[in-house]
Amino acid sequence: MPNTKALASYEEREKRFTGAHALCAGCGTPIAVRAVLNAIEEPVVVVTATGCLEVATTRYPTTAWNVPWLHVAFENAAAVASGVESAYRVLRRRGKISKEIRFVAFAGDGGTYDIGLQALSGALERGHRFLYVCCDNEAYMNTGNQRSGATPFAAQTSTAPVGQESFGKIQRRKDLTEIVVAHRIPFVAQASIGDWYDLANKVRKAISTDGPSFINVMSSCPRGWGHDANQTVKITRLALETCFWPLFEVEDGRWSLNYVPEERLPIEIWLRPQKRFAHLFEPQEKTELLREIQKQVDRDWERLLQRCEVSACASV
Amino acid sequence: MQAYKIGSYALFLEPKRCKGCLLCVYSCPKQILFLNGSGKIAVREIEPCIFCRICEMRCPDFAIWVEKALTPSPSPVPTRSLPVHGEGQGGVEGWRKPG
Amino acid sequence: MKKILEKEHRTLLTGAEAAAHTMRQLRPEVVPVYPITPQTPIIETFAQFVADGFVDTEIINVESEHSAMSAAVGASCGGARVLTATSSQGLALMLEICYIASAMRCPIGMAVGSRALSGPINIHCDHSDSMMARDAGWVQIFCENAQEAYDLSIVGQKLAEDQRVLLPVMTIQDGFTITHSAEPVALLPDEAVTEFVGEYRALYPLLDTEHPTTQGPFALPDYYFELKRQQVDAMENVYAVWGELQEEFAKLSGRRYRGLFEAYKLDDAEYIYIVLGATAGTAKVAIDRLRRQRKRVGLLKPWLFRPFPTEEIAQALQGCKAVAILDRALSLGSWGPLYSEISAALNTVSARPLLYNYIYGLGGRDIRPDQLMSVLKDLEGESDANVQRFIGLRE
Repeated sequence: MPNTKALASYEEREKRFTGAHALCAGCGTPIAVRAVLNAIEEPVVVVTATGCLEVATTRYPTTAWNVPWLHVAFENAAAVASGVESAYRVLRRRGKISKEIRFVAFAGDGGTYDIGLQALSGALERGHRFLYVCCDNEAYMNTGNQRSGATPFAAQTSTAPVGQESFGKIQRRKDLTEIVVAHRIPFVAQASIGDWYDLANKVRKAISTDGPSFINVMSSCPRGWGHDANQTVKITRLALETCFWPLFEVEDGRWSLNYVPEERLPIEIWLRPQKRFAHLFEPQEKTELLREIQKQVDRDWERLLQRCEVSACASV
Repeated sequence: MQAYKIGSYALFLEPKRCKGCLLCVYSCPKQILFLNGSGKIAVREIEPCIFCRICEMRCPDFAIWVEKALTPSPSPVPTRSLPVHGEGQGGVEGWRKPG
Repeated sequence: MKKILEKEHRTLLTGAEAAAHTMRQLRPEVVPVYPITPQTPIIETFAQFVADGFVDTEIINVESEHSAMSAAVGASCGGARVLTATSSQGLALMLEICYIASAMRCPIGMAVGSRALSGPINIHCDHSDSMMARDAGWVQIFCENAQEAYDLSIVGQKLAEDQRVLLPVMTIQDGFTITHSAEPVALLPDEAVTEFVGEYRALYPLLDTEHPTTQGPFALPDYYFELKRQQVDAMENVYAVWGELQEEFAKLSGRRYRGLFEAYKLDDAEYIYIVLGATAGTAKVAIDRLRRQRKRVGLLKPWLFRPFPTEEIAQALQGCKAVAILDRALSLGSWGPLYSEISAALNTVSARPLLYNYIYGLGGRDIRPDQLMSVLKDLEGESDANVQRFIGLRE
């Protein structure tokens, strides 16, 4: 597992993704992207779905990418990546390419949980060797904070707004990581920009996997979530401490937990600083909703612990 | 671009790229960074800097970075011919076109 | 690699099998496929060629046509020769990415077994699928029979990859009528095709990690228009390149596709039929019978629908008395798609013939020579021009 020094040394490599892009101040996505690309030593080709990352980094004729980069549409990053990867395999077989190349696809939660789920599922099932990174900021942020399948229960979005008759999103978020695990691919993980060591470590593992791999990275959107730009990393950190977004990995079907907080913080600590949850606290505290959210988190955490324990027993 | 050198390390700032999110200021273990009057990243004092690169890793905009062995390059983008945003006028040369 | 054809070979093949042979001989690197009637036998036959070791293509069995075209664009940008095939709803599903494929100048070759679009759902031939894709920036070639499907997809791929063109090409054969009907087809030797088409070399392959390129960027109003203009120029170049390639292909095969359309007994024709695809075969029978009755009729069969041979067709129609334009697709609320094109083409002509629009054969409704022959009465002045009529419809 890389330490701070190792992580710092990754920064000495030639930058694969660079600044002066048009992403918002304090955006979590470029932090995730640079961390992912920094952790890869091999030549890499990047595919990106439509979204903030694509729009803000490739305004023609400029680019923030220092590696081969391809965007086709919103819902098909995984399918495009499977095309590029297949081309690579056959061109290598025919002797037209000699070096080892790795493939990474970046997409947001809208492009992964919702519109891109079919393409992702197909590509995973077919076993292409690529790493799919979902930068999950829990809503359609590129179009201005609309509800997605990743939006958490009771969060305010522009298409599930708060009003007299509504407390925001009434459904739970879908557990995409678990859906991906069900594809029985060699490596699946959940990570966060709040823990680089862990993220870098997972990228190393994923990229050396001979087959598809998937990492779901929580990355905050200051504007959508409603917090100051300087809180981006802290907020995602709080999601770890409250066990809302646990760090775990599933390697060849074995679940293991990567981070257990010394003291689990109540979910309120994560919710309170975000304006999208402000209606849970003002004008008066919605204790019932808060209890419901805490119950969901507890249940999910317990379920995860069980899975990891069962895996630990089985591997003994 | 500004450079602050101590021994064989240098801390570089590119205020043009800075969007003033404060992530580096908040994460600096030695608290040497601050936002100046125009909302751009600046160094209060360089002496305590341990060149840990945490600011560099947290910066979403590549506006702050550390270099070793004192070979300051004008920008951490040495090899691209295409300009990045805000740097020079881009042309369509080299783009895929017929014939 | 095993070869199966060392010299020219005449054999009984369906249109689908002929298309699969073209795919084999073009030795594509990647073929993303998804089954749909009536295209499926193309990819099945090709998959068997791969399974038997006749060609070392990477087939991607994708989970939808949308992903098929997405993977095709990815592989093509990567630097690979990419072919695929589809029909009807499949083409509709991939249409979003078809526009992107042409804008990204990916010379993808696609065999289309044309079939009616739902609804109601129907698996039989009409041209509504290809017509839906007419504005997607693809070169569209319509084939009359299996031999044309074989020949024109070979020429089509070379056309697609020509540096003056660099556009995706769809070679359209009528579903079932051609895809599933066996007829004698003359296949060229494998090596001759390989040599004719040559190796595909992408201008800026994504997989060249030494020279990174940003492909598919975000173009704002300051650049979008100019980028689209480049596609216009590429389409314009198709006419000349098509002519050159047909000369070359004639030398290779002895089969000459002269011009942008086939002119059947046009020289002295007073009444001209215009039709796309397989129905041209039926129309030729009708023309021959009418000629025996001393009627001066002829047939104009466009091979190219995109780009549309506007000037050449206007010249060919100039001075004739009337034209029957047979559309196997609707553009609801307007004329048939072919009619609109012809009508616009004739704007520059001083002696403009009368135009008659016939919609026929939707959803696979059969069309017979006698029905086509009876159309002549309208053209001879029994009915008004500029009215849309239907052939073989129960009113």
